Amino acid sequence: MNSNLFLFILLIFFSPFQSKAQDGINSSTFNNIQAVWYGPGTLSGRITAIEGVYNDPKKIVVGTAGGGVWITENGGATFKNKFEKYCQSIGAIAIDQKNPKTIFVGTGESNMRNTVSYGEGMYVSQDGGGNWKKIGLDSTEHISKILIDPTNSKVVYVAAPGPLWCNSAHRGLYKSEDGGQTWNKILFVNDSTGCADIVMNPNNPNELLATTWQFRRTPFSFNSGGKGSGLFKSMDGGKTWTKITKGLPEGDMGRIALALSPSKPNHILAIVESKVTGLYESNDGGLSWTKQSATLNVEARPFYFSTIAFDPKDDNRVYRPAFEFSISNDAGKSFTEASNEGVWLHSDHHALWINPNYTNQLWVGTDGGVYLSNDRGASWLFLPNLPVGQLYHATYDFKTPYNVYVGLQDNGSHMAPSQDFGGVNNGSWRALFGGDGFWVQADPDGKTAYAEYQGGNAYRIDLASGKGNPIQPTVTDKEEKLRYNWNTPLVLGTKNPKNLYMAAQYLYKSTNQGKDWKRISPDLTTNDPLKLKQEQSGGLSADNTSAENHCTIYTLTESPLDENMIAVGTDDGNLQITLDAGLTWKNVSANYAQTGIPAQTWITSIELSKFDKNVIYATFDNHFYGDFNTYVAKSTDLGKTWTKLSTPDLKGFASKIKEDTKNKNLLFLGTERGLWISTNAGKTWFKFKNNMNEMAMVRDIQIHPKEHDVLVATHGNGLIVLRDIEPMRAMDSSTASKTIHVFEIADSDISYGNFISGFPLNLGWEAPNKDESVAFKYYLKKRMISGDVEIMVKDMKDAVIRKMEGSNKKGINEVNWDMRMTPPKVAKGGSKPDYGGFVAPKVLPGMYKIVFKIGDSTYERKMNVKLNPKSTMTLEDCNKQFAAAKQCMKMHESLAILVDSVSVVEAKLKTGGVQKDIDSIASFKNTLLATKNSSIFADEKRLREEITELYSKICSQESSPGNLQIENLNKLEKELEKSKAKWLKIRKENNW
Amino acid sequence: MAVAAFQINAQTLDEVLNKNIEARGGKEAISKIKTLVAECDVDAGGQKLPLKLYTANNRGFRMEMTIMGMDNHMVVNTKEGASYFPVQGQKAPEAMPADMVASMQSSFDLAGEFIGWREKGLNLELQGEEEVEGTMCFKILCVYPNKKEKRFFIDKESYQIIRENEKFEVNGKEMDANQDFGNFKNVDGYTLPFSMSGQMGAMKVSKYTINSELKDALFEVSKK
Repeated sequence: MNSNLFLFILLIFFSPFQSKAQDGINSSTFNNIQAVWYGPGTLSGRITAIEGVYNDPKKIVVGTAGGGVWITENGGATFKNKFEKYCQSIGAIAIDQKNPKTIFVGTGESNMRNTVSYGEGMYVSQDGGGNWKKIGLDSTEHISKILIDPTNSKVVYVAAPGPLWCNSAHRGLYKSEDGGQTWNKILFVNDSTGCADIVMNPNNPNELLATTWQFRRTPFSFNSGGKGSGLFKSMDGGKTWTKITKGLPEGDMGRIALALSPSKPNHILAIVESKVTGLYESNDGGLSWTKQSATLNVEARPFYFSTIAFDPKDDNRVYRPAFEFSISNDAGKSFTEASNEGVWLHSDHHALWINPNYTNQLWVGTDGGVYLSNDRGASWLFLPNLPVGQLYHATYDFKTPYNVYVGLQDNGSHMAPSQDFGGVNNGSWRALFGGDGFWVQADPDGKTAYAEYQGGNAYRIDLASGKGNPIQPTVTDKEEKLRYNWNTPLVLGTKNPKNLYMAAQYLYKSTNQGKDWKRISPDLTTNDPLKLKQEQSGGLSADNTSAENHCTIYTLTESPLDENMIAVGTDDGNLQITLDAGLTWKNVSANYAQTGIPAQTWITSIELSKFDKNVIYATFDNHFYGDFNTYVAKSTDLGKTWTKLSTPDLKGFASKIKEDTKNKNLLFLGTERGLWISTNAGKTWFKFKNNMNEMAMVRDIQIHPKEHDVLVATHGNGLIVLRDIEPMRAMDSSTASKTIHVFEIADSDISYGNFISGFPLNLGWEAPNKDESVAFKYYLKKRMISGDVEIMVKDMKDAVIRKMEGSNKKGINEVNWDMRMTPPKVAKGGSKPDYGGFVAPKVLPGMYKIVFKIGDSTYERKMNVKLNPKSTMTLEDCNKQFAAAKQCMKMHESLAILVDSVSVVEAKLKTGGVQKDIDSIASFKNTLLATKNSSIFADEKRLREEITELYSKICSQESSPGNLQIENLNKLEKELEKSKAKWLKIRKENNW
Repeated sequence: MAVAAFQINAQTLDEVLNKNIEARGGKEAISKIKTLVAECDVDAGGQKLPLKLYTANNRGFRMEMTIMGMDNHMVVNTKEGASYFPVQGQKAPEAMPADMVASMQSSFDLAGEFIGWREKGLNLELQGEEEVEGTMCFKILCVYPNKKEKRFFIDKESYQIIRENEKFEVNGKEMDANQDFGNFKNVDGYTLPFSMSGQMGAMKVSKYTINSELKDALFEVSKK
């Protein structure tokens, strides 16, 4: 079979009926459920690395904090997701410029904030990102730089700061001399110190300058700096090193970022973190240094902003992307800030790539996505098509369609409809609140939302006016200080959504939308004074922005069965439960500790069952102590005893567990390494992979109780929605063991009318709307190699209404029916295309038989098509519309027969007939369909086109035909009859 | 059984290729196919669009399709290719871009890439196994002399090719397309797929005709 040609054919036109599919209960069993990416693309997420191909600078590779690697080959017009199967936290990228299809990716970003994820080593692609291979350094956890020797592509250096939360020997500077197959550690100081940066003299690749960095995070503090930090130089490709101190600050240093001028390699700049952080300059290849400047943007947060770069052709021009984007024209002695002309350039920058062959062009990676400048930073373009937002939480409301609400790292809180005209695009999103967005809630009154920024700064927001009121519970004389987590729980009651809860180390409850609060608990944390010294956090650079707040409540939930039952989890290992609305509390942490869950783990989520008040699920996260194991457990006796649900195949620290709203055995688990699902109450788990990055960092999960959609808040792939999980609820091991299973078909509402969406809005990332079709689902235990699948819709008299082809894939296959009849045959042979053959009326409400022919087996199901109660049509309207549409269909088919008859005679005459007769036939034919003008700019409406015009309007409107439409219909009917009679006469007269 | 499992896991490229060739009808039989005509339907919104595909071994390809009442065609031979799609407003056949012609010419070989691949200058590599929508497959990379790449996914049970993935350029834009094959049936000793689907739609074959006479004129590029 000629496959290329087939591909070309299929590019031309489109079938709206896509069969989808999936097995032995794993992700492919549910291949009919494909993750829908909502983005938003308008806010994007933290970008950690950008590299371009020198000789083809429209090819850019972008690394993200939690969204993997995206590649554009058209200068940013579109990006493709290229790292779907691998760790999503990207630390560094390098492209072999001699062979640009070779791309190295180092995982584990090195912007060491509290919420940073962790990596799994190095990967390489030899085909421009299509396929990847793991090549070692698995335990480094964070990689900050990759350098390839420009004279020998086999020589690769990797700077690995190493693990953030514990000591480790897996840090330092590594070198490979065989393209990444093997690695040697060539610079190592101690278990607390890694390598943060490296530069290489392009004219002498053995000449290297590297920086080491001593740093550590704990759940309650951060330290950057120590005796291990330093600057080292090698002249022999890393075999030997000399520590450089001349001109550098005395005492401990912290993170040091380097920039080497490509046009003058002895000219090097360094941002050196120390007691007084500053910019240092060397003109002798790094042997000695002079302090240059220390503007706010230069010295800001050196652990987080580690980028500085020379213009490739001008060593006086320097760029410092950091909190803001600064530009120097005197090699760093003075800086100005870039303008925000074009668009506002998001703050917090971590990556910069300058096109070396056109140095006006800058690509900047910020905490809010990728920006492009073509005038050296004077103005900017934002690329709105990267859906790499880092969500903390998501929720929904009960409107139709429902709205989604999300809180985003460094990008505030936002809402969008789950369906919008033409799809959910960047323009669908509405900003609710600023700062870092976390929990966000939709009040059941439909007019109010709650959102917050870091440290529990929560507001009540009037959705109509956009105004907000602060609602954070404040300290009274009964408390010393309130400790709010960076990601403070702000939660509506599940049983009683009029209850609003917030928590510091105490739990607060409001029943009037946050205006007034009642404290309903004592301090529920360990209140360990050793962990309460946040003002000392930062090390050399004070850094305390509530990110290190500790001994706080991190999660809470109200039972869906009893509003007096509330469970609270803290960041210091307490899981406390009240059954009397806070009068008394019981700490059950000693109980789950017996399963082996470490004592100090954060409780990241608690799920109180909606089926049994005694059942509690919880997730526990110990990664802040260097332990990335998955901890999830269940209690069936109100927390007295626990069973671990973690199985060996689960990976990544756990952030969320969610019980399904209808099937108690169906559980969803979000970890730092993906979305996991169990259909057997947690005995076994499979990873969900359908159109979803396999290692997405899943931080929150919600299930819409009416729409049956699962909202997955990922920390780097934006909001992901799994639409309609009913098949998951219906699938169990008994069904999965059948060779074929055909699912029952629920009653379906039929709607009339077409959505008019007009031109595309070109607003970047877009999620498609839900298909309004009804889905016929069947399950195949194995892929069907022989035999096909046909689905017939019949009325109750067995007349075939519609036939559709089904797919043959393993798992659940789905065929969508738009509830329309089979389109009519239309007359062929005209000079213009006629789309009447693609138009069909909707069926009438009523009962239908759906016959599945799967291979040699036949199954029948019935379905009830009901008129949508929200439709403006009555049953009588439906009948009238249907009758008129059928009349048009009959006309089309009758005209098709007539035109065929004329065409046969015409063809015969053209091979030896009289010209007068040929002209006469052509003239008659031209009364039936357009035969003269082929241009779309030249109207030629004849009988066929007129029928199609009327027919398509009748079939697409949400009303019965109007009076003039009926008159038009009758007129066309008469014309057709006249034409048929005329043709009969012509044939008789000419004996054709 | 354990030994058999080990042997299956350790299959070589040639073993997989040979099993596929056998599953398709055998090397000798397949090599005798000189022409192939497929009569198909494409389902477009409930409307069946008739489609006819003619392939002559190493000579050319022709596609004829009626859409919205208009006859369209495309033809590619060893020198050139053209398409005529009046349904898209074309008034006369238009030449196809050279890169597309080159891409399609490599598919004139009715015996397929696996028979005599070394002699044909192809480079095949068994790249292990990969799941295709829940079905485990052998994955084979084929690199053509013009550097084009295609990946074949061969079902481990039936040894039929159930998916081909190809990257190719059209007007400077890289296309990455899958097409899936199913409903394999025996036709005169050959096993052929009666259903094909790509990212844009599905096609059902109603009939194959093997080794009928297809004259060169069928594959000539007409200027009008």
